[in-house]
Amino acid sequence: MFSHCFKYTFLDFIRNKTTIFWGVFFPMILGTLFNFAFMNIYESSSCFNEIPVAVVDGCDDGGIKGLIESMEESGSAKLLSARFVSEDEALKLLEESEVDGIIYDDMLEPTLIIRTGGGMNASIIKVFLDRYKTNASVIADIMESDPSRLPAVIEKMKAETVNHLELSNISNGNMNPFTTYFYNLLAMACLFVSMIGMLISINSQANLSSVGARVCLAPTSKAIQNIAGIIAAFVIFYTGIAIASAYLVFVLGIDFGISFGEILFINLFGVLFGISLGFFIGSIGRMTFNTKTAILLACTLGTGFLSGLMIGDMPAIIEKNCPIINRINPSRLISDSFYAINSYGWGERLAMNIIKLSIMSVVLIICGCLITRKRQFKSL
Amino acid sequence: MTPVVKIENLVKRYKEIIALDHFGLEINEGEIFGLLGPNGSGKTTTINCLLSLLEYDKGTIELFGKQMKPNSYDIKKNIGVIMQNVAVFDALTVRENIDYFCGLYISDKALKKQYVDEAIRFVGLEDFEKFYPKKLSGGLLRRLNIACGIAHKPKLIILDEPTVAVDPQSRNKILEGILELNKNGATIIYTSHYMEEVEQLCTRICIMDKGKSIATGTKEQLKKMIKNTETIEIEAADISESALEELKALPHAYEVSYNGEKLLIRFSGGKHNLIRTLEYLKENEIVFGRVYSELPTLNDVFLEITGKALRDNG
Ligand SMILES: Nc1ncnc2c1ncn2[C@@H]1O[C@H](COP(=O)(O)OP(=O)(O)OP(=O)(O)O)[C@@H](O)[C@H]1O
Ligand SMILES: [Mg+2]
Repeated sequence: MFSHCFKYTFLDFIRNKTTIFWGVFFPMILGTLFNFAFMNIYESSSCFNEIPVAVVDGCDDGGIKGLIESMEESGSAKLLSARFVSEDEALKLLEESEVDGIIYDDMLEPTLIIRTGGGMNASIIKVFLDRYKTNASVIADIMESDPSRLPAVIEKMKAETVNHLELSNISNGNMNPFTTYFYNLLAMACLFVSMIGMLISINSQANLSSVGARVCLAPTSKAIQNIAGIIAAFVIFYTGIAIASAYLVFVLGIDFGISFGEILFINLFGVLFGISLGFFIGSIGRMTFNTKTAILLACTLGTGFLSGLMIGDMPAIIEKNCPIINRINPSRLISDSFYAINSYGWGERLAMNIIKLSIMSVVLIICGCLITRKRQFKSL
Repeated sequence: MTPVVKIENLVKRYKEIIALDHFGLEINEGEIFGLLGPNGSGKTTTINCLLSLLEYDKGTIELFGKQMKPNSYDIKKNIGVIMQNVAVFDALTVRENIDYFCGLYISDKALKKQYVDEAIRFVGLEDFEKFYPKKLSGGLLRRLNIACGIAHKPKLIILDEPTVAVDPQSRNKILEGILELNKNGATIIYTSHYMEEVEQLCTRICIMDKGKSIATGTKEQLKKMIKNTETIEIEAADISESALEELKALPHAYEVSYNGEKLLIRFSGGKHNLIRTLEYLKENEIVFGRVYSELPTLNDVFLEITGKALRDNG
């Protein structure tokens, strides 16, 4: 019975041009559009990557001024364009968005004020300063233990700082802010498969489709038919998303910062969740097909929005105001899984994400099956 | 013998609309049972309650002597349903559709194949096995719909207006098919608002109106329930008021109507009503054209009991 249901749901889905379009071609098209859009932004933004900062002298003569000057001397692309000003002036500049941050240059404890919404530039300044602080404490230690080594260590540090900051800014590695948009894009593609998940439950309910009535009349458990449908949809649309991913990676040459195999691995959980979500929404309530479609679209785009599909800083904003959303938003869990592998490798953060996704998927499928099990309708 | 279908006191409301009002019926094995009623009289609602698709407010429904519930798989196994709407998968071919639905009932592969072959032959779709439903004409699509419902050889077959919007050729094929299924042992429930079909096909008929059963019986029994035994219709261009009065005074005539073109006289009993009428017309030198004499139809039964025609153009 299971294989019978699997076979025909499989055929039904794979021959359906609309579902194949949404499952496979839509992410490809969107990826292409994203890519073109970002290519331009990225090119223009990498021509102009000097970050304006204001540096306020502290009571002691701090080391930052020296560091910045030595970076300028080194002749390579300038990272920061610094203005040395008084505190009042600096605050004014920040208010007028003339600079992205203020560094209080104090040998012992340099501090930083960053413009809210400063985005990538603000983070770069912070990285710069953190690096500086670490070095400063190392220097302090050496001064106490063996001051004679100091000049050599400082020279080495200067060179490293310059390299580190320049390289990470220019290479396409972790710092490329657009990579996360593609993580979110794939997350959304996975959630779009929910439309197909919904079709499975629509096709087995008498009030939503005429074939549903036939299915309800058959002497076969609906759960078997539904699970067979879910697996068939999973096979087809997982393959679809894999093809779309391959297109993004190998044809468009988008750098996800992780291997293709790793992308495929995360897609597994994304597609599973997408189908489960759709199946669940399709099963609950007595809403019409159109209402359910609207709910699904809202879920897909809403969670995508919250995970930064439209505004890259969204997760950071949420993290500040309502972090729980970031912990449970499925779209965020998927995109964060890519990010987690990229930044931390196969570790706890990735594990938590995929465990949460799997649990949610299973719960949604079980609930959907239970709800539709012996259902009779008030109206057909 | 336990009836195949037994419905008692069934009440179904859609919010404030009462779709079934203490409706009841019994159907025995081997019958072709007709549910006849105008649009909105509750035929489809009856079927859906019977199949446990719809919740109902009151009443009991027994099939094959057992109470019907949504998970009564042993009952469902023996039922085949052809719904009012065509219910097939667009992305599956004719054969695949039939095979899919048949396979939900029959798990033995060889038997299933045999049943599917028979169903295809039965509805005459041999030449269209590989067609997708979109490529089929309306009539062929209906036939596919029927094949999907009966391929597993059910003991009870329910057809909800299977001939709506079907060309005469397909319609005849469908009606013949139903008779054949019945001959092979299936009990049939057939709903329609075409009284001619029901009259031609059904062994017993329940006439429904506004969710109530207003009369049940064989067509002869139903016709005996009413006063009318004969209706005479005459084309005549000019009949005076006084002539109409005299016509109404003819023996056994109980109703006369005239619209300037057609004269309609209803009789209750009597043997020579037509001859007497024509003699009267000749004696009074009234010119007339064609003449029809009709025995009562189910429409007359419906008309007399409810005071309105079964169908507006009926
Ligand atoms: N889903 C529904 N919601 C509200 N009212 C309904 C619904 N379905 C049917 N009705 C009402 O219930 C009554 C019976 O409808 P039903 O479909 O059973 O009639 P029917 O005899 O099958 O008519 P038809 O010949 O048009 O198929 C009608 O008055 C109809 O308006
Ligand atoms: Mg109906």
